[in-house]
Amino acid sequence: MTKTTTQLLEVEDLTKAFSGVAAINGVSFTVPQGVIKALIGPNGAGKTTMLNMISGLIRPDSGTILFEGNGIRRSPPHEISRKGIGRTFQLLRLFTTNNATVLENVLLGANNLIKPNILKSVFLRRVINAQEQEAREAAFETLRFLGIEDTALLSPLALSFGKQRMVELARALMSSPKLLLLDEPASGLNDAEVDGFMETLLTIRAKGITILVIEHNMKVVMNLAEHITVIDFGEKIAEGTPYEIASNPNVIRAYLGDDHISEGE
Amino acid sequence: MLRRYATGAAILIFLGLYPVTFGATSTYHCAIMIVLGIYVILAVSLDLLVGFAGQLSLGHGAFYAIGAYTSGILTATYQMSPTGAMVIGACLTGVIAAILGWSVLSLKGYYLAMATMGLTAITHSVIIGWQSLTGGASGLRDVPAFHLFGLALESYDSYYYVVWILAILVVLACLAIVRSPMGRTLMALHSDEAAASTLGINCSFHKTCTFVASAVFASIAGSLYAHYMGFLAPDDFSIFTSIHLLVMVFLGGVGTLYGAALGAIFLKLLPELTHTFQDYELLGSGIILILILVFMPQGLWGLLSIAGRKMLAHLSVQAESKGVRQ
Repeated sequence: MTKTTTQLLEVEDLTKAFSGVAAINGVSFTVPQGVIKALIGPNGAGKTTMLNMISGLIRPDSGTILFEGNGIRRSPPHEISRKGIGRTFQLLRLFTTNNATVLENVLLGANNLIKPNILKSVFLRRVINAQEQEAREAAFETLRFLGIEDTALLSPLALSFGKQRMVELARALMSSPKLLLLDEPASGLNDAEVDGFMETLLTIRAKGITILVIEHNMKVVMNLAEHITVIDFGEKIAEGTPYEIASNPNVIRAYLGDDHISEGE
Repeated sequence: MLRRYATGAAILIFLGLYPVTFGATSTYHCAIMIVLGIYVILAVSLDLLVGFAGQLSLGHGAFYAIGAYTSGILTATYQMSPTGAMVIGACLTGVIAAILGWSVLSLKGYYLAMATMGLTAITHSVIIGWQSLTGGASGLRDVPAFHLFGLALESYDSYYYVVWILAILVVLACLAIVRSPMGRTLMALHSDEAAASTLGINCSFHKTCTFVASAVFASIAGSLYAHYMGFLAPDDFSIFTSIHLLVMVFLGGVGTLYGAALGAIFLKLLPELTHTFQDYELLGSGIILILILVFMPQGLWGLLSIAGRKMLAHLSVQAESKGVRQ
């Protein structure tokens, strides 16, 4: 079987500095269509900054970001979402105002489908109710897929951390993304939850959704990712398959320090 | 569900029969209900913006003023029809709110509160300064009574229906907004703008739209007030009006709509009952606001719903224990 070489996401020479300190310095990488790609690196390497730039929350200083061949570097986050990039957050950002439920959180993922506005909600109630019904069915299907259907009417705050992560994933999936950005999705999960989560990621990819994941859990990275990019201090230090990365001296140095290399030799 | 319809029906029947029952005893009783209707529109529309979109506005009194003066000037000076003047006032307010909202609401935080405070100050000075148009500090006189299809509604009990039909329509429109996916969208951007934007929600667009809708409703309330009073004085539209409206929303229970209506009715009836304390009204509102924010952040509506729930629970426990004894 020949592997498709279409690039879904292309990041070229991206740079971002926060008050003079470079967080990301000339990093380039690509995410081919249909793969699970991992972005790894020690704490403070700039991984989350990279994800925030792709999803539009932070504007890069220079460089280009192409999604399906179109530049999105200057697009605001809501437009990037509409183009088909969904994401989750490392520190969960579920909506809890006015006693919002899990279902409401997940339904918000259908925003691009319903496209609500004030006039529509007052004068086109029939249309919006029909769309809402459709979205509800999709939301329950997504919750069922992630095994948290029973939590639909609870507040997200009443759930365990692992389930809250699933709610955020459900919300991102509801926006039917082509590319899913996951920021340390396995952190805070117990071993059994991590195994289940890996199964889930494979199923999501099987649905044709490309995944770019930041992860510290090496079990997840080494087992799932087809391709890995490693960054440290805002610069790309290695790139390759899990096997290549595991034996790359630069990577070992970044994670374990110089001493380890000399001892190892 | 049935209980909700029953409550709604009871309120409608009460409002519908009021002028021929309680209101019939004196014109004062009808007049006070007209004022309450106007303030229900103001408070509920402000709650839509503050309680749901999470934007603090000190400019609601300004939009109320723009509606009132547009209606007043167009009908008194230019003999325009009140409905036409009301529509023009609403459009003018909508345009002003859109321009202000569009420029300020793309910023996060409390910039809207500052900008709207400025708008209120500017509106107030324009009303006082532009004497030839607004009558200045001595006020705008001889605003005609409301008339519809050539039918003058000079008596309070006929005008009462105009005000309350519009008030109910505004409340229903606000309810339709907050109970639809639109309300959920507002909840999301109120809760976390960055997260909302990654779900495709254009936060500044929705904040501006809500701001415009809320301003247009305030303008309609202003038009209604102009035809009720027949006379407009600039001091009815100072910054204190905007603050007073915020107090109503917070007193009643922010983010519930019903609470805002309750707060408006409560705070407008209170001085009617205690005329002697009129000079201390502002001091009173200030103290009330602080006490609510500290001791009952959910407001009167929150207290009532807790009391209602407890009563229901109590009743059902009683019913159960009776069942056991039998």
